[in-house]
Amino acid sequence: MTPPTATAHDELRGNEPMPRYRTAEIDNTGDDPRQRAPLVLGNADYTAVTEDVCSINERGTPRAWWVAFFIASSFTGMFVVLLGYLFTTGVGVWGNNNQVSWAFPIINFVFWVGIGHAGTLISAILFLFRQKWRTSINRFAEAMTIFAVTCAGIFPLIHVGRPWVIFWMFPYPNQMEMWPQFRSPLLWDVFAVTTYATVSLLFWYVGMVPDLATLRDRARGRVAQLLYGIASLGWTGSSRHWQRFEKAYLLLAALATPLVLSVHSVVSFDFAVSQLPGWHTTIFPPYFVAGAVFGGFAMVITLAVPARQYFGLKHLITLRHLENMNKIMLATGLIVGYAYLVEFFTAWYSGHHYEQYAFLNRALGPYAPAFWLMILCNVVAPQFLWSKRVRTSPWAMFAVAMFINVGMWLERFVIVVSSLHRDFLPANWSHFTPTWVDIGMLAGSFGLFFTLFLLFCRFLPMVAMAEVKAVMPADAARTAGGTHAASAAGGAS
Amino acid sequence: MSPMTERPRDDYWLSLEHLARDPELCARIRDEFPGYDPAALAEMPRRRFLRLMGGAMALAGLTLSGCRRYPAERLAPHARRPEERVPGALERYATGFEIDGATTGLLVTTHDGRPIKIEGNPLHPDSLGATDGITQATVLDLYDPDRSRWPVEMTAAGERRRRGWDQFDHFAGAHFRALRALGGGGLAFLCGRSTSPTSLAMRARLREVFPRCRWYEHEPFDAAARIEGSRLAFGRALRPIYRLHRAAVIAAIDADLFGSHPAKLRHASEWAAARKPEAGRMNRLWSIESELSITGSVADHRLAQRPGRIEAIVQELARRLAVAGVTDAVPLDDRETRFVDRLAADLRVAGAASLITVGDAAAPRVHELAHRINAALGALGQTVEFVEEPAREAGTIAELAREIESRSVETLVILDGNPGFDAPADLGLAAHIGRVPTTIRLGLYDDETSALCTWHVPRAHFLESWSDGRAWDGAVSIGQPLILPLHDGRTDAELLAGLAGDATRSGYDLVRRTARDVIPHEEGDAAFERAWRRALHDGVVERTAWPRVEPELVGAARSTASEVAVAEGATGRLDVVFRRDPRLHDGRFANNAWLQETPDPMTKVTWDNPALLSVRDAGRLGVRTGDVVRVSVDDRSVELPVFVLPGQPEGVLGVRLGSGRAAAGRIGNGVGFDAYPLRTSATLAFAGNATVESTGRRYDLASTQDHHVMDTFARQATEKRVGPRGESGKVVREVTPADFGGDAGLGDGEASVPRADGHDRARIFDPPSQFNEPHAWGMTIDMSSCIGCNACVTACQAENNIPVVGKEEVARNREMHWIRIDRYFKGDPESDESPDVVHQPVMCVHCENAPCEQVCPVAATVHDTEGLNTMVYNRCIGTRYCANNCPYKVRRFNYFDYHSKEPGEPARPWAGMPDSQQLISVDEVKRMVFNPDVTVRMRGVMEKCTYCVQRIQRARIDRRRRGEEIRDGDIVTACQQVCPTQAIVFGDIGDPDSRVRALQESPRAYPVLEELGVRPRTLHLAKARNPAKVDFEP
Amino acid sequence: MQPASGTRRFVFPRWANYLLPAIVIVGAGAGLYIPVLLGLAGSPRTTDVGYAPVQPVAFSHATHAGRLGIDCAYCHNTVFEAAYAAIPPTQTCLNCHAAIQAEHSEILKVRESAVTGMPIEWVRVHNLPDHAYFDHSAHVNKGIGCVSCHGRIDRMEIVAQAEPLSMGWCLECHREPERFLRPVEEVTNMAWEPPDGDQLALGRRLKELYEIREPRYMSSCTRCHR
Repeated sequence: MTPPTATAHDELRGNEPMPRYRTAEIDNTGDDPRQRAPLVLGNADYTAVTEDVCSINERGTPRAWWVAFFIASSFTGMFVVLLGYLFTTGVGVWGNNNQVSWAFPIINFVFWVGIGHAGTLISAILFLFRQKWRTSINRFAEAMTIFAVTCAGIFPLIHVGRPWVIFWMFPYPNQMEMWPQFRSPLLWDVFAVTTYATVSLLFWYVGMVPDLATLRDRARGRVAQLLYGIASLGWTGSSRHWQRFEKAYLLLAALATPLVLSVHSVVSFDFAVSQLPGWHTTIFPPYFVAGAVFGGFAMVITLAVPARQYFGLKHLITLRHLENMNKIMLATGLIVGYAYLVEFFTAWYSGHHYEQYAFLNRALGPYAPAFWLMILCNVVAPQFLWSKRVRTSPWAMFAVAMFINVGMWLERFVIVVSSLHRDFLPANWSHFTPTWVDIGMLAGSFGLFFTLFLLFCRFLPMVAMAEVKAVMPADAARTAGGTHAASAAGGAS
Repeated sequence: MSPMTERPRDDYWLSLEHLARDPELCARIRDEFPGYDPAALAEMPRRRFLRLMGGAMALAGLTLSGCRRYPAERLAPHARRPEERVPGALERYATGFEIDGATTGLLVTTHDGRPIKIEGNPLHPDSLGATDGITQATVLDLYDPDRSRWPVEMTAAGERRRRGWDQFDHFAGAHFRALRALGGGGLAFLCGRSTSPTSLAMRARLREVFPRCRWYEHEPFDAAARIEGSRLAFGRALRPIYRLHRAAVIAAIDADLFGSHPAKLRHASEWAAARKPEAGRMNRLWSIESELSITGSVADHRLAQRPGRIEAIVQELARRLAVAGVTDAVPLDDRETRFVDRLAADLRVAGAASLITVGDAAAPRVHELAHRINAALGALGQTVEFVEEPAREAGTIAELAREIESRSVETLVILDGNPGFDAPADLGLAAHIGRVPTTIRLGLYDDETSALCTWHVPRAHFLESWSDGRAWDGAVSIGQPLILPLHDGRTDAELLAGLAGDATRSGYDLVRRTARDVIPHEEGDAAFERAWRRALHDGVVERTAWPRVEPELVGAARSTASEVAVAEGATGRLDVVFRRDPRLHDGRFANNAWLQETPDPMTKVTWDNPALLSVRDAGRLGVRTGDVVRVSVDDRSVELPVFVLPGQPEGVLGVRLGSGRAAAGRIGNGVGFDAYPLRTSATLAFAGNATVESTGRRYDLASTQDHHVMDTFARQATEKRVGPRGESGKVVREVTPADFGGDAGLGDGEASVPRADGHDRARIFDPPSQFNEPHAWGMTIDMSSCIGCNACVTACQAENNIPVVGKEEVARNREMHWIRIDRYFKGDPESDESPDVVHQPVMCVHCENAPCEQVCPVAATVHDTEGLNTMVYNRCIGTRYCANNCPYKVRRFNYFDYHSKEPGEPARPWAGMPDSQQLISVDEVKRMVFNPDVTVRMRGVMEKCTYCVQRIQRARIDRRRRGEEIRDGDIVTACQQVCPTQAIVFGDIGDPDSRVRALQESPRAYPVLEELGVRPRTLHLAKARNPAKVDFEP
Repeated sequence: MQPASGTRRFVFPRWANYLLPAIVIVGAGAGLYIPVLLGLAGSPRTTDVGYAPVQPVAFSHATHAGRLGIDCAYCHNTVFEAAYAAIPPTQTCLNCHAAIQAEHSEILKVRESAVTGMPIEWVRVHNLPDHAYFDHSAHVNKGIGCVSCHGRIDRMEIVAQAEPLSMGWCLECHREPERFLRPVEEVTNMAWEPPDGDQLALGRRLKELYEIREPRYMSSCTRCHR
């Protein structure tokens, strides 16, 4: 394969077919101690990286994107309409009832918050642990986090009976001289989730500044120049900028890391703190965090595999990256499976009748299908990741990831519904059946998620160019052809 | 709380007399109740309505409007305030409600002239302070917008035109003047059974005016068999008055003593009074029945059997007890034999302290045998007393039908009732009525019968009427109106007076006239005045009960093995047993949403009347709950959904009559299924030889319990919690007198009941507070007294403005009742042994360490210093976390704005301010039933039992104003007040002398779900059963 | 790429440097200002106090309660026994006005009401939300003066709301009743002052005397909400 020339780059600006190396699947997953496995393939140099990433935003909007965007945004539209229906009619439009007071809205909330974990984990924790391979994937993993948290944030707000007084959840002086009730986990949630959302957003944005500058510099339209220019906060790539940038980035990473663990622990308190059999369990915090990372990575895979394929980023998001993520999924998946096991053990060992029945009912009661499907998705499916062939074949891992996405939603369904519907007094045992609104809102939230993600792909750098360049072998840099601002910016580290 | 305590005796009735006489006041009050003029009501703007509500007080607690500047309100003071009328203060008046020919005395609470709550009259023999659910709900009927509001005439062309009363009077005047010339030839009256002196007086009066007129009485559920039975036994028509508290052993033979008997409230009270094992009193109740009634559900021994077998069983029982004349043994199967053996032995032991009671549905001969057995046991005059059955100078509806057929009825006046709907099917009465030239119907609703008549005229609700009536034992009570007729209705007496062309036509005068003869008083108007006032005040007149008679048996019982044996002929096919719907009576309350949504005591089904089938029959027929079956008797057939009910006798299909109305109103139309078409005058009680086949169709039944299919593990878990037959479980505890070292009242009350095993002591932290400043409110619920009659459920609904949600929502398990009566069956449903039944009322137990409070993010539910777990509606944002965390699941959430929603329809979007929805969209007349002392909850907030905090506050303020402290008994919760068995007791558990404290210290008291350590303030008293000794030889 | 892009690329103009401090100041300022503004604008003290609707009859409390010194309870006679200090019936007015100023234009309105029996429709001034239950008798019998909630009615030509009647405002007194208590016989006295000027001392004594309970009890939700 021939290293791309400057002319090649110029051609690439037009909608020329991409060079071979950007579409070919190259295996860099080997662990040969004698040579370090490259993280960027097709010895693309700094310029090539810039080109490959920026061109995605600069090339004309492909039809496929429009199609996807249309579908996603129409689901979002449906979501909005349903919200209107909900606010004008009452939360009775859902299937919740006196016995099962929480259902889809809370399930969706926990599901999306969980998804929101991988991003910050990759960008913050792996950053602190100097995991260079994170660089190619952290950007859109973080984006995914932001969007997931957005979706998550909506549900707690709308699931209350009187959303127009939701602000009573916040402590502020008022004529009633009333304060929130700080013993309530729901209140902890409010703070945990908002903090997490804020920090993730900052982290994401700060990391994006140099790349935005690159886009700014390459932009042709005045509007684009203006917008990217403002967004990049006047970044020039001076070493002072770099020094400040890296300090800030490090600090934010340090700040975000504990949040990754805290936020889902707090979410799990919603359940663990109550006295309901099946909820009242001390292992919930670690179990939820593991589950969240598990589900989060599954979602990253779900997005990464098609994205790298379609946008020709295989040389940046290489098999090695994917495989590493698979390994993490496998690990966290095992933790989750273990947690399931421990729950049952504790129930049996407790000798507590209500606790024992709650779990019997989970596995053998009316909602047993959901339970066993969950086991299939979250415990059985990941086992395929033991095989390297699965770990290194994008579409196989994609399939596994899809299973896990479903499984993680089911996990929350099982926890919430199957515990609630039969608790202490047999007389009020009841059932839950979702209404079309329940299902519509779940679909709508996915619509919102994908709408945001598509916009991101279109207008923001999907790969952290600057960071990728930082982990490229120096000799690649030497073959650099162009000497424009962005590559200079990238190389300055 | 009798009226005495409310105000000095002489005062309030004065204003009341004004209410009846003083035209000005009438006019003004008419204005306060715009429903009076429906036309105006229709286009009346809300603002004007508010003004007319006599001060904005009427609006108190109508919405949860938040912190905005409220819409400007107008205050309309009286121009001349009636004496002693204090705006916003509650007043109570005594009145009475007649149903099935027996009147129950009531005390009705009014607020600014609006009756809002009904209580029993403690002085009245048939009430003793309690009422049943139906009576509780009648106040909703009063404000039912569907009630008929004007006379309607059917023109020659057959279309029905709205008319005015003047037009009717004009017509009636002419018509009846003509009839008088004929001496009333061809004139017939059809009315319900009534013992009201005024009604009877009016009958007599009309007989004078129209000598040749004829009277007919019709009640769908008649007592003819009972009367015939007493004739067979005593040679005359007698009415047995049961004295259950004197009985140690009671046998109820197809008798629903607590459910459908006119004196059920007194029965329940007397029965429960003698069921206190710790007090050493414990009677034993045996039940033989062809349905599963609430009486059977609380029996210590129960034999469920086909109606045809009952005569045989009773005859055999009579033989065992050596009743004269009963000689030949009847073949009984093992189950029957076993039962009769033990019952006979038990009765022999109890002797004169035993009582055999028989239900109206049973055959005359069963009644006769029962009388003879009672006599043989020496129970006559002890546990059963007799009065003369009031004579009935009236024909039956069958005779009326024949008369009409023979064209000899020209004018038919139908007073109330609804024969067009509930008459025996074979008579084809609907068609007949159509054939009568002139038919006049006086009815609350423009219903099925009215549609057949040439004239329909609106009837006044009993809360709008002057009336009188007699209790089951004959005690007279006077019924006062609480409000002027909202819809311009007239009472029966008023209409008849008009037809008779009398001068005195006002209900007040008519009742007062008869009262002169009925109320015993010394000579002189002044004396009568005093007696009259006293009667009005007390609500019941002393020394007016019918004299007791000591009857002699006549002849000896015929012993008829042959006849009895015939009853067995029908095996293989099912007997269809017809019973009134425990919620809707005979169907006359079908448009009452509170009653429609009341769960059936046994099936817990709302808004429907499924046919009841035993587990075995269901298996045989291959049907399950919810399947629709076609039931055919001879050539008649109806389709009904099936409910498979444990305890339902094998071979019997239980059918509840009264549902499936076509012209009941917006609430009742098309709810449930009409089974009257199956019922003929020959088969009033039951129809043998019915075929039942599945139609293959399914039907959704909305039940408040058993929302789920029970798998094996669920069954095991349930049994562990409820306990196996005859034993305690985790949540339901049971005791027998043996636990108190005695049997059948021989115990010395020494407690040996397994007590709580100290979860409470195992607490890992100290309670934040004792919640006893200055009182510590608490409650006890006695499960061995509870008969599951549902009165408390409806009372709570009336007191606390609890909305009706409708069938769809109940099916989603969103019913709003604050009180839930959990019904559990114990024992193998497959076996032929009748299962044990437990009624466990559950409402908020006000945990001292309340799980709900810890999880509410906005502190909308918190404790007050007296231990109330308060629910502050306006602070609630509706996260529903509290409900999740409530182990008793007694919290109810307003998923929609249920008050604004029609029960039959789905909730509609509301664009405006959510908290203004009720104010704008709830019908003004309906709104008048709201209790202004209780906030009306809006969409999106949680609610639950508050221990009737509004009653606590009223009592407290009344006392503290005068510088006194609350005393035990000042505060009576709505559920406690209505309970016929006093199963619920509320009070200050900190007060060492309070009743509730004593009960909470009873060895039977235990906190449900004690192991959670939430320390409920409501304790349940273990269910006491009193099974006969097993080791006994016949 | 063409070097031109270098010149066309967007850079913040120099003046943008001054923007930063400006943004910081404005942001901080608004962060303080807006909540305070909203807080004041939304408080019942602003929205409700001073509400003085025009009444159907120009009745002057200043004249009757003030100049003539008629006791409040003469007209509002249910105040000591009922939750509502009921608006007096027309009858009450005529007790005097049958003779006094009988022909006055306003009085004619009153007499009309008496004749027709139709009520005079006053506009409600003091209005609590429907979920708050206030009982006059419970307060006046325990030494809370009319003036404490209604202000100097005896000086009002047209009755105006004097106090916010907000929950917080109620709690002021429910937490420290001693600050407002007065002898029961003085509750209708608009001009009453503690004799020796020491309200707290007197208040504490009266609190004992009237058996007014501790703040924890007095501020329980159930005191006002049902």
